[in-house]
Amino acid sequence: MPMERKQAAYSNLDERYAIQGEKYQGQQYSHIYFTRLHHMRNLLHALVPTWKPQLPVTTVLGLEEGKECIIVGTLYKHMKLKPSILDEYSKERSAIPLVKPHNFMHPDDHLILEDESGRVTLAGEIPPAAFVTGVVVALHGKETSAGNFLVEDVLEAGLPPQTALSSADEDKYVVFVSGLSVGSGTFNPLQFQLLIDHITGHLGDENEQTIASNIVRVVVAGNSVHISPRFVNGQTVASKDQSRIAEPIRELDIMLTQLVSSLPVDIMPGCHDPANFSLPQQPLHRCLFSGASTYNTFSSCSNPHQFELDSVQFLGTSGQNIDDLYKYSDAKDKLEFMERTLRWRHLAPTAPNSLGCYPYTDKDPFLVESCPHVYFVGNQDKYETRLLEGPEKQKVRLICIPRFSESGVAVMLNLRNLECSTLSFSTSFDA
Amino acid sequence: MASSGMKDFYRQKKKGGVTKAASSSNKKTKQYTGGASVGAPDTAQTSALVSHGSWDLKDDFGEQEEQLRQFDMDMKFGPCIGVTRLQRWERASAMGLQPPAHLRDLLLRVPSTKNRSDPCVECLWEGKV
Repeated sequence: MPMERKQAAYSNLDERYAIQGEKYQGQQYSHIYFTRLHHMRNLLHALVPTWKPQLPVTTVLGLEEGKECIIVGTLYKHMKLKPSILDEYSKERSAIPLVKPHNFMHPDDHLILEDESGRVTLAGEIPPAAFVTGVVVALHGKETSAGNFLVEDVLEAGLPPQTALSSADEDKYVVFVSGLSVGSGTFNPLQFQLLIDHITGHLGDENEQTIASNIVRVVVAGNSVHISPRFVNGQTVASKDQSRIAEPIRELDIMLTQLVSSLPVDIMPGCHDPANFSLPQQPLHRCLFSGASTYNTFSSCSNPHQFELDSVQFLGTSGQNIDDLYKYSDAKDKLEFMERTLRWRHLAPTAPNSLGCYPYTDKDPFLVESCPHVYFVGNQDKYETRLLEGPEKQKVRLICIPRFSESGVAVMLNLRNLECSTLSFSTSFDA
Repeated sequence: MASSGMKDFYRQKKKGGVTKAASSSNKKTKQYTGGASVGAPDTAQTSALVSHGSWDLKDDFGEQEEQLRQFDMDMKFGPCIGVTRLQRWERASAMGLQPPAHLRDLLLRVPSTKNRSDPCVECLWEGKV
């Protein structure tokens, strides 16, 4: 008996991440910080009267010693171990201890708050480990005799407002896969082929095929190909190697063509993909996928990627924003970093400080204005998920998608109830 | 030997006047006099500022340019370098910061063939930093 694949209404909301008609005029990153502070300050000023109604709001320049007040500004985290390009040129050998490659935190790190008028060093009830450069917060405290600001309480903007979710009565699934790394040593073609066959309904019994027919979309969240570093070291590529560079992409195209012939696929670029490096990464060019791009079910998207599926709002990245927070701050798991970015209302607060970012002059595209229902991050070490609930009944499904080439795990999300499960494929007998 | 070859090379160069100047303490005590006024009898005052016998302190820009420079320097409207004055005005307006309305008219009227006294479309620092 033929089965019909379910459909879901899709609208792509990537427009805000598109870099079009922007002309680089030598501007620096100060504009992003200015627009970020301006928008976030408006939000925080609106929240302050309900938070601490009796306290005056002032600027850094207007601080008076010993007087309790509220200041709003952008945090800067002064980090001893933060790598600096200038260190390479310093004459004296630095006595700084060897840095752990994954984290640049140090007990001496401290926070500084900046606004247009000035900057002040912070002390007190604000743990530097939990914050990063670029976050805008409101602080309650007072200036000390040493000229520092003694923080008593911190106000973050909190989860943004969320649109109500219409109740659905049928199961529809979205599959997330990330870090395919086609062309790398860890990529297992059979494992990926099993995933494709499962999604397209070529695998399993009727029961499994019924589930497969409920999959409405596949999202490929970054690092789909692995291009050997010897080709990208800046030297001229020999003509015999030129076709070999394209091999991983050609192989990926063959695999994707099988998928798009059966259901819609979104592909996002990641940090190892042939796209621009700085965020927002622009969609991979269609000409890279000569087979898959002939189908209208194929859509090449930006990173971050934002879309709506049957009124469920999705927002996700290929992982750079969370990986960078992991380098410069501390949390109990990756999901907590994700939660923080939502509470800070900013997808990538460390851009442009330690994360590459386009020098916008009139906007900060990474501000999160409405709360997504599903927030996913690709290329993580392991699968993690949690349902985050906000004070205004917001419900967000947070998902860390593991690298498929290492774990063989894809993530399946049910649109009906936002429940999450894994799809895992093993190709070894002893596992 | 390679190393002695290198020494010979440097020694040859040192035979010039450079070595003497560097080793003598004269160089450190000598005041920097600026490129243009080297050799002039009075090094304290460059001649540029005292043309026609009076202090030349008046800038060569008009009243309108003065207002626009004040706008450039107003941090309330954000950083000015890297955007044109009009873009900066539009951004400030879109953010609800209410930049002075007459400046926009002024910037829209800037003639394409401009005199020195006409206002500029670019900010104060453009091309200077």
